[in-house]
Amino acid sequence: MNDEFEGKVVVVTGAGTGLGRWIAEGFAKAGAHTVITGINLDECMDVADGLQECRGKVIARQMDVTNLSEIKDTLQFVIDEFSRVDVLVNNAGLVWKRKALEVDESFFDQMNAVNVKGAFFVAQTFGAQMVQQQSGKIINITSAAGKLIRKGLANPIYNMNKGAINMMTKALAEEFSQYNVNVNAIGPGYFETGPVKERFVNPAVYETVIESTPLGKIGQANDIQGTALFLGSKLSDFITGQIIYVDGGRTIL
Amino acid sequence: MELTDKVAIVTGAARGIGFNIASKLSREGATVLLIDKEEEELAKAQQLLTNSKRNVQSYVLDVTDDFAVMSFLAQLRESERKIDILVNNAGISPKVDGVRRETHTIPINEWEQVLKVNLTAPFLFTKGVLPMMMEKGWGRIVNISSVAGRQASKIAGSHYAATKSALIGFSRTVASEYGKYGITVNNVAPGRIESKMAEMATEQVAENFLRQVPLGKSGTPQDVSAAVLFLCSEGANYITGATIDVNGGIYMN
Repeated sequence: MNDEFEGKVVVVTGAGTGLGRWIAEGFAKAGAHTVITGINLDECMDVADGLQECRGKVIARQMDVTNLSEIKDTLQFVIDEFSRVDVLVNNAGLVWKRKALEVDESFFDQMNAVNVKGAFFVAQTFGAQMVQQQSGKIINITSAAGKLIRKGLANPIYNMNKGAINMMTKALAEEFSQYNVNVNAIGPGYFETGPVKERFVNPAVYETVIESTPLGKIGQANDIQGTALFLGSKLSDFITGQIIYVDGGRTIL
Repeated sequence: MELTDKVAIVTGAARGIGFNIASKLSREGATVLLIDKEEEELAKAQQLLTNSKRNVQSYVLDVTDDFAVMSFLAQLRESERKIDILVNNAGISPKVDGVRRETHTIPINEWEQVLKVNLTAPFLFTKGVLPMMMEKGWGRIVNISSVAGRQASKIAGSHYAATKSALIGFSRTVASEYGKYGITVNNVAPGRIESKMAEMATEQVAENFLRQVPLGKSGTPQDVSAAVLFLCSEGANYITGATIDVNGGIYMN
């Protein structure tokens, strides 16, 4: 992939922590101009500060995906700065967990506001710019939890939200295909991020997950970066509307 | 270079997609063993790659010759050269004057021939290389499936479709068995790709198909080999049992 990302402009949402942060770091290290967006500006600035040695510009920017005017302002900011957007990584998401019988309206609405509504309007806003450019790559972050339910591991609202992202990926891929804009998704399994580490404090949960992962390990930063870079590069120009599961094989069992 | 010191087998490597895969793997530093039954084309392929200073060796081998395949693999196992990467690419899709036979007219010998090339040969090669990969604690197997294995086949016959679906089930199961040895097993499922096999279909058939492809074009062998190379790279370490659909969006997984 070498110099492919030199001069390319990549925007990552939810990039202050977790998978979003790792993906943003992957693009920045590959030489792209990278915009680190997130709801917490301090976290985003910390991420950006750690990447100032990279060849491209790395900029932190506060953006709450539930605030439509912030999304629009962020696009404008990116256009003023770089005049274009080549890759959007639509990653911001909430991973709260509740049993169906314990879900109230506010929980449902908050999850939906970030995971579905936010993801859609981010894709729509940045997608509109890509349509105008007649080029671009959108990478939605879905989840293995958008495909399967395993005994003891249901999380109904999250499962529903990610199922919605899967269909959003396909529908946008179809609509944007005529403009040379590819839309794909990554379905991560368990990665060693904050919320997952918290759950693994319980060794029984950790054992269950490892046993149900054919590769027998938890995903690390470079495991998600490789697929994000592939889907953001010209190597995947003939791939659209697809979900690539980066899950150590969990979804095949 | 990403694959320095790796040894790869590519079946059906004399032309088209297989040749392109061999070219990409060898460009990344792998030693590639080119397998094909077409002696002259294979010699040309080897010449081309050798001219570009690639490390390749060619073996004239009919993959339906069980005994020949098994003794080839047995010899490899005894030699110092252990296989790290296997790409099961060789495949056939018999047609009559550019049109598939409908199922009630497929002769049993044609059915059996398709199963031998497209399914039994990948099994034999996989079986043969697994012990070498287990010794190394690392291995990459990529099977070339097809969009015909993902949805009702539009161009190829039902025997071809059956084998291409079968490869996906085969890969998932082998992936679940050998994940613990650091071996990943994945598929790339191409849609319409500019190749000899695609040219066998009539123009009418090809046009009808292309009209249904969201990206509105055929893919190239490069589009397919890029996905294969990705699956063999460190960036895909946490992907196993997966199928990457390289089809311009005609089937969205």
